[in-house]
Amino acid sequence: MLSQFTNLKAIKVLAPLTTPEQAIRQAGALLVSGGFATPFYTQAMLTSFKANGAYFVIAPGIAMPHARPENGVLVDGISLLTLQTPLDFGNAANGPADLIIGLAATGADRHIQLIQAIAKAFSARWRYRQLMSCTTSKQVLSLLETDAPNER
Amino acid sequence: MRVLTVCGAGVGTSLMEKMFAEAILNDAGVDAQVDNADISSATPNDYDVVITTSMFAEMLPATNAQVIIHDNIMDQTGLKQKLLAALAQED
Repeated sequence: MLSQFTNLKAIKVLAPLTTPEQAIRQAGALLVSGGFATPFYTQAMLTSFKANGAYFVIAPGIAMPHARPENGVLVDGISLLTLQTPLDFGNAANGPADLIIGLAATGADRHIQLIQAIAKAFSARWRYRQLMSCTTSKQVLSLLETDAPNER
Repeated sequence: MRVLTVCGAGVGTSLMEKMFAEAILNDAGVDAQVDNADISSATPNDYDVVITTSMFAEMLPATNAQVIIHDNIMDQTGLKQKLLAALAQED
């Protein structure tokens, strides 16, 4: 379950942000307040965005900004940020994103469990829509307490 | 067969793609080894098939491997179609 990799301090819903950089910064700040990464990690995510572009928009509407483990990851975990308005990160194939998953991954075994949990939580498209309809952080967290059925 | 998934940092997207590819190949009864790598350390010539996004496909070193471009990482149905088509080419 993805809920074990996040907490209420790392979740924010319907933020009124206007640029991709703001969204990455907010996702990073949530990773810090959730206890998953240091502030330096936020900078590393922004640097990676500048260097590698928006490949981290992993599906239509869903962005998963992240950086390398050595840039300040403390514990494997995610922050979850939903936006009032989708933002264009520059990924032509997947379009703008309004669900931002800040990923802090250590590279250790638990990291694999985390990625598996993210895949399970979002592999069904309706889970994204369900998550976007949440109006409180508590709703988001309780939604992540169950896995979505596999749609492979 | 050997499959490589490639992304920018090598810790998020390519790992997720590797998990999906392994599950698809396992379901299809294909004996395969799937690895993941970041774009700066990827060695596509060591593999039969490489799975990556449009952007990293342009940055990959020249290779004889089949390159599958897959941008919606979460779309396992689409990945399955592309992967099985690539498998048919290998035979």
